Amino acid sequence: MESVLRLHQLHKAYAEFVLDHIDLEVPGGYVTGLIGPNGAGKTTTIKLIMNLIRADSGGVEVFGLKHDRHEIQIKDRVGYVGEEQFFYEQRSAAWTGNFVSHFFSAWDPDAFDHYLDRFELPPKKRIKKYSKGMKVKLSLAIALSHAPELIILDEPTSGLDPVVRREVIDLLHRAAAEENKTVLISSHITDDIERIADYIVYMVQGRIAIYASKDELLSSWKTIHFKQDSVPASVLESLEHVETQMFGSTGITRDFPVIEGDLTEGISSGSIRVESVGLDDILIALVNGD
Amino acid sequence: MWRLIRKNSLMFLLYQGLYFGLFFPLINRDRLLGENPLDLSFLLFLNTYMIWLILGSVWGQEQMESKNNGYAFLSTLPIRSWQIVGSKYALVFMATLTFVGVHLIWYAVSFDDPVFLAAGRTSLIRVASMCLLLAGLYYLGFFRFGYQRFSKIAVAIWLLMIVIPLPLRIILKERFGIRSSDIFLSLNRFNPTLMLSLCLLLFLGTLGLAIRFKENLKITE
Repeated sequence: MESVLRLHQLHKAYAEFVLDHIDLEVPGGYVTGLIGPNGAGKTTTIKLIMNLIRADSGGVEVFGLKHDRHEIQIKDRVGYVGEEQFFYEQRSAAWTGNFVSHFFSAWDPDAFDHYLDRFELPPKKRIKKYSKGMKVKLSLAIALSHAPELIILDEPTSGLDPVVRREVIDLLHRAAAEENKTVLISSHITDDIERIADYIVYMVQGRIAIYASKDELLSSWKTIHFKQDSVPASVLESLEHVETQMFGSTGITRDFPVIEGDLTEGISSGSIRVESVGLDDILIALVNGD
Repeated sequence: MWRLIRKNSLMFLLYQGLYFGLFFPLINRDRLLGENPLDLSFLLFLNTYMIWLILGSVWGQEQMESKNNGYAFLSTLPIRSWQIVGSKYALVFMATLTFVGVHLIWYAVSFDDPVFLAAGRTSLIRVASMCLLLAGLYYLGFFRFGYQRFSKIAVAIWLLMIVIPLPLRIILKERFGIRSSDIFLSLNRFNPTLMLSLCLLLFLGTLGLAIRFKENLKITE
């Protein structure tokens, strides 16, 4: 599996935040979700990938190319939707499309018109009269209209209503599945990521806490409900964030395949119950455990 | 880069349109009607409009860029920093050239006296040189400090330039026996071609530095 994006010991320090020497390889043709609480370093990582800020040390390679020599070639092949949408607000979407079209080698005006139409964006209306959701859609229309091989989205769905959010997510899903594009999407809305991502990266306090395929992650992480004396010590050791309530205890494990054998007896007797976790449960466990 | 120049040209066109469409005909009304010959001192004053025209356009353009977070938008596109900065400098150069060109033609048409014509040309070159230098310095400031910070610095400098000359004039005269008019006269003796070459060189120098500042802006963000 070829990596489209490679981060090597990437480091960036601010007064109150440090992105701490992260390594990451994003496989081509898949959707990778970047999950983390606010301030975890998702936006900083993405800005570094887009060369919008400069790293203190470490490197970024996109398509095997580095920004210092190939910034134009990289940006030509990347569709980017930032956390905030910046446009010349006195201008219209049609003007913006025409303006940016001259900088992308594979700009497709028909595709841009198609997305404007699909997102119900009036092409002649001044952008300053667009809502936040409309600006995100315009940003997405630009990002998708120059045949990008890699699409990078930083919290694209925050602030969107559920209908538009679903539409955007489905569009990205199709782009990855049908057009074999690579997508890197950051969000703290784990539902979105769970819907489309093949790989998950958890970022907590400027570090990558977990990087795994979604299937692997969801099969290894489970919630275990048990009566206090019904689980062997080996199982107890693997449980995190054990909470004891009136009718028993609940813990979360990241090693379910390892402890599964030890649970068989308890499961069949009814003293142990295993539940699947959501990506947000894992996030909460990681944040609380840090 | 042509697309960037076109994008930036709005403010320059606005100022040029205002000047050539309104001020220029008004100021030269008498001459246009053939009623009075053009006065040389008035002509020198006329040339200083160029500073207002160019620096006003630069300021307005950067204000718009700041208001729209234009540089943040451009930085996501496949555009090199030198293209962004270069387009700004190219536009200043083109606008200055337009002003100089139109006025040279106007003087050639208006002046019968070759002495007046030469004085008009010389003054125009001097003001154009100053314009290029000041615009270069403005952009240097904008790319080094950003619009918000530099606009405050520039206003402070302009205010100082209004306040300082009077005490400076007194100090120069009383302490050193130098009259301020002598300084202006010595500046006036400065070879205009040499001045233009020097200012063009400095203009290009500030362009190089501004590109570096634009690149380094990433470090501070």
